[in-house]
Amino acid sequence: MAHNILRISIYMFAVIGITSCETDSDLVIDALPRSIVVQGVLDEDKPMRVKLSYSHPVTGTGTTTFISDATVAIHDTKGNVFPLTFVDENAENGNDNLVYYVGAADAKPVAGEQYQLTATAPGVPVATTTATIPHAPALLDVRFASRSLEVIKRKDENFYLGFAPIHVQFRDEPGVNYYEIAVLQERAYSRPDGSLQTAWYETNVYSYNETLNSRDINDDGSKSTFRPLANLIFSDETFNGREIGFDVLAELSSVRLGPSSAYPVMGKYMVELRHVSRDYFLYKRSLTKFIEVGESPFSEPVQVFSNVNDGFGILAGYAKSKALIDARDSGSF
Amino acid sequence: MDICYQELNSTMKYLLLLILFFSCASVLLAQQPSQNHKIVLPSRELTLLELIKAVEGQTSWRFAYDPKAIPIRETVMLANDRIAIEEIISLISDRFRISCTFHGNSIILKRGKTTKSVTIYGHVRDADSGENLIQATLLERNSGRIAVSNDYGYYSLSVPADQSVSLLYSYVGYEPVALELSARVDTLVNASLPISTLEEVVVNGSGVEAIHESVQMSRSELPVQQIKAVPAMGGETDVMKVLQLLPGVKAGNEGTTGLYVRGGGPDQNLFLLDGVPVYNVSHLFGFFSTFNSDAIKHVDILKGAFPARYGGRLSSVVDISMKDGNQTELHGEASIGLIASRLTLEGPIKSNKSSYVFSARRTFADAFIPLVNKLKPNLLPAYYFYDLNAKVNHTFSSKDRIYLSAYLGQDRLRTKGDNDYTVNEMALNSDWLSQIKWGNLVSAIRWNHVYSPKLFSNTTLTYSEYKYDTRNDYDYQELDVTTGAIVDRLNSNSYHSGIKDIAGRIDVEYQWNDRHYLTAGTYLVRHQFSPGVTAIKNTSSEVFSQLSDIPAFESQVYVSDEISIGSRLKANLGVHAANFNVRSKNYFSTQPRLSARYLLGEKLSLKASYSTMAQFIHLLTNVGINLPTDLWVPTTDVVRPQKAWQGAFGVAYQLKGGYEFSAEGYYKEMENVIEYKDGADLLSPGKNWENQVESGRGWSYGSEFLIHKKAGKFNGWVGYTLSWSERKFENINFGQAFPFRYDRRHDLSMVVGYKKSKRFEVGGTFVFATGAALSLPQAAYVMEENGYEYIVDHYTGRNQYRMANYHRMDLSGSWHKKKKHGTRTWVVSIYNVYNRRNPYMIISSAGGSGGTNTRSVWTSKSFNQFTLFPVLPSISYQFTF
Repeated sequence: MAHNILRISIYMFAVIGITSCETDSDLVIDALPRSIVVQGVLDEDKPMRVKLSYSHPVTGTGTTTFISDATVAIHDTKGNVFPLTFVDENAENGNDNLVYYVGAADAKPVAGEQYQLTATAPGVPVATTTATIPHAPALLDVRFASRSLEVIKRKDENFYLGFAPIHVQFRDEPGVNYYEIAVLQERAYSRPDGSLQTAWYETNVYSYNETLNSRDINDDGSKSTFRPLANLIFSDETFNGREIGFDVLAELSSVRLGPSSAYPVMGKYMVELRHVSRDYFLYKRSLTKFIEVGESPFSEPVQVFSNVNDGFGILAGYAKSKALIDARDSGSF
Repeated sequence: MDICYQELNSTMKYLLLLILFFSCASVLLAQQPSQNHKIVLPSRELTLLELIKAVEGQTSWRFAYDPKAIPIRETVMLANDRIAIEEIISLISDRFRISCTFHGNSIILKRGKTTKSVTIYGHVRDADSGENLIQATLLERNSGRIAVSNDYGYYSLSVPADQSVSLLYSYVGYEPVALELSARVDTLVNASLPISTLEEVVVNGSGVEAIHESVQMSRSELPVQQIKAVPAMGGETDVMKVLQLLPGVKAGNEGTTGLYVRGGGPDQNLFLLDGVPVYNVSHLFGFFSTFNSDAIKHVDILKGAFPARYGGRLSSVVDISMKDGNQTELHGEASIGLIASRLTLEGPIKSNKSSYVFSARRTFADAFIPLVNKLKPNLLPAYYFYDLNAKVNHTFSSKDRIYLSAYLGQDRLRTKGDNDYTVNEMALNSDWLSQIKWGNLVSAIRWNHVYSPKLFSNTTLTYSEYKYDTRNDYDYQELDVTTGAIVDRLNSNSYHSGIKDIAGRIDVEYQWNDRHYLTAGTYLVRHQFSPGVTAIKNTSSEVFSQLSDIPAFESQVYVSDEISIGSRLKANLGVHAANFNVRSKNYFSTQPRLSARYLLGEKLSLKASYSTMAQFIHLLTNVGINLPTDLWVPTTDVVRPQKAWQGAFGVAYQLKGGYEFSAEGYYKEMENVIEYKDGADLLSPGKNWENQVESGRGWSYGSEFLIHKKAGKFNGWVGYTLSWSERKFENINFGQAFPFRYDRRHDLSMVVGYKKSKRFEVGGTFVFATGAALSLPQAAYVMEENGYEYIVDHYTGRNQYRMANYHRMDLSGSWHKKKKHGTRTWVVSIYNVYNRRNPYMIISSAGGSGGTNTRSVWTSKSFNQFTLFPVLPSISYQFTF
């Protein structure tokens, strides 16, 4: 009898054991309510401009909705109010970049001032956020660091990229400061009528320099880690209150080179040193990381910084100093 | 019981004997009123003054003493509330070292030593096997003094010379042994305790060093028999999974063996196997531990109040002792289950002098893999793990014993295959082989030496190694289109990493007197970290890339004193100093360790402790699962040593029927704990590891409650923890504090074993825990950057989301039957009886993203919750002889 019970138990357990396996089920996430998303960077050279859209659930399907009927105003600490009006430059073809709110042309942000944005739209909480515009940095020297391009093989790909080495020197003020270096390259393009037109395009900027907390290009032979975003952003943690000089590499976009030849530096570059707010720094850093990591399940999730109350996104600001260098000008070396 | 008396005497001892004789004679001769008169006491716990007043109130005896010289506020515990005066005098004399002189109806009390102490010392052993019993208790019943055997079964206790002493040796699961003797000189007593055959062995609270009497707090000691009785997943008994059922100890992901102790990380536990650190304590990606329960004698876990001798980790010490081997006859144990088969043999090499134990465990699923792969080629990789434990020991004399122990454990995963293909109508083929192996090698040689009855030493040389190796070979054929020839090609790569320790340590224990028990020691270790070596080879070239090995030297020194202050207060004061030298940098740490207990009554005590710890090595590990790629790395310029301090306060109460109750509250702070940065690549921790981690702070606090019954027909425990654990890093979660991944607000464990008869017993567990904390997005939005639009997931913070609560019940039944050559046991167990779909992990499917100058469309993104272990029945067969 005992043997029979044992035998039946074994059969029963075998059946259950075989049918037991890994299972999964859909998980319903507690979604946050729909809110206003703010995206705005205040540049002391430009009128105040922000984009507004609605957030959406993480799960599901839909189209991003840009807000056209919001009331948007920016206040400074002196009591001035700057209303922003909606502009849809090219709504008919769905070009998001041309849907925004903008202030008066003469109402530009002032260095050292703090601005508060209030955005009100139907059916969602009022979003508020604040940005402080730092003072312009003391840019001391900008020049080409070499007459030759730096040529680097892109990891896992069989082509080489060219970089213009640029030396940047500036003085950091005491206290915690954050900077961004942007390099714009003058490029020419043909107009429909056949004539040539020049314009400034932002290039990708990288650095070997760990002083900038940057390891954009690894020093292990692979020279591999390229950030997806254009500009070099860093804190003054390692050079607080001192003068600092370093080289950056401005990528020659869309130019593929051979492996060994020496290529001379050519063209004009506009180098901008931006003194950015902490919020801007945190936002850019986290967004860069978020884009890098993508949907990898084997990475820690990345939180993108937001400074909007009752909403999402960012309002930040910077003040900048800039310098033009021209490869045809010997003074630029 | 084997007793031998060792003459270490001097004329002083005889002198003291004479003094004692005359003291007693004076007591007897000078009395006028009766000394046999029994006094009725208001309580069994009185101060000396209350005792004196009770005597004076009920007799004509009057006491004469100097209140400044006599500790009249000190308390004394009495066995009965009716006690004769002569017993009271004897007790006072012995307890307070007061001389008692009778004059007429007066009893004159004078401060002074009436007796000299001698030392009772020896080993406490299992009567059948001769195994040393760790943490066995010796109680001297007249004075209430207690000694506890050390890791080698050795004990030492000061008792009054030339007085009758009543010794009681006890150990959980064994019958207590009592012994009366009067020792004039230091006396060696080796006590052999028989295994209990009684249904219930309950030695009352005054008979053993019960939980309330021990100065140590935050410690749990689990009898191996109780560990084996807990229902196990797949029928594979696992020490680590039983430890997870204790309050203050949390499990990681379901089914895994990771320990998260009082808010600490999995790298903050010091696992010692016979005193040697073991670095990788898991098999099969963390689902089983490396400790084979058949080879284990004793398991101890410390969650705080760390004695000074331990160092090197912040959160816990799991001290596991292997069996020594049966000293008298050959015994064995074999079992076969669904996961693994085990065999253990032990026996004497020379009876009562030397013995051995050998234990092996191996999984056998790989034997069936070829059958499965015949049905579908290359479907499953071949996998197995094994453990080998071996130990021999030899007793040279009553003073010297040597142990040699070793452990080897390894996991191996192997897959291979081939493929035929054609190029330009030429038949070609390729084949590949991938194999991964990882495991530990641990060995130790140990010398126990008794210098004198009061001085015991242990000298150990150890070697510990963890190694991870992977190799991939790909052989293939190519067609050379110019010549038409078939060319053989090879692509091969290999990688290995690991850590090696060579160490030596000396520990000494000294029973200075009945109030001081000193321990001291030193530990020197040379670590060698191998962060990773990669070799890539192909037909035309060979590439070798090595992150250079990092040697480091760690040294530790400690000293501690267990002090008895009066009858109620006992404290352990110690200090541990450690130095770590790596790449010419020196890190030094001084760590005070304090713990104390104060007896509030016969069965109730208050305990408190404060300890600091430092940890010079870090584990880069994928949170959640134990991958063999987990990498031990040293402290560096960037990643500083981890430090922690912990304070705890608690009560301990010895209940009736062998039940113990303890409640503790604790607060712990940790510095320089490491955490992966946002976006860190968890699959290749070795690469630029210093840049992938962030150092920060952590803290945890909570309360733990435990009711534990260690032996008897009905045994088990109920443990509950209410706790909080948080982390804070400058560059994670934007500098805001966030819950530790294994922060569980509530954690309840119930473990029950019931021996219905000698032939049948059942076991059951129930666990409940608040869901694990994790990061999940709760909204999404579009941001434009550099001309592109990105859909950004919004997290309210790191680890702000909670998985569903975890709960589960397991049951097991064991049927034993005596056979001709031994006992066979069938064990049937069911894991997750009511098939609770506990979440193991949550992963998201990819959603849509925006593009340049197009209005962003977000498409279906979903989250899936995976349950790994539904109801899992298992059966195993065991045979012991």
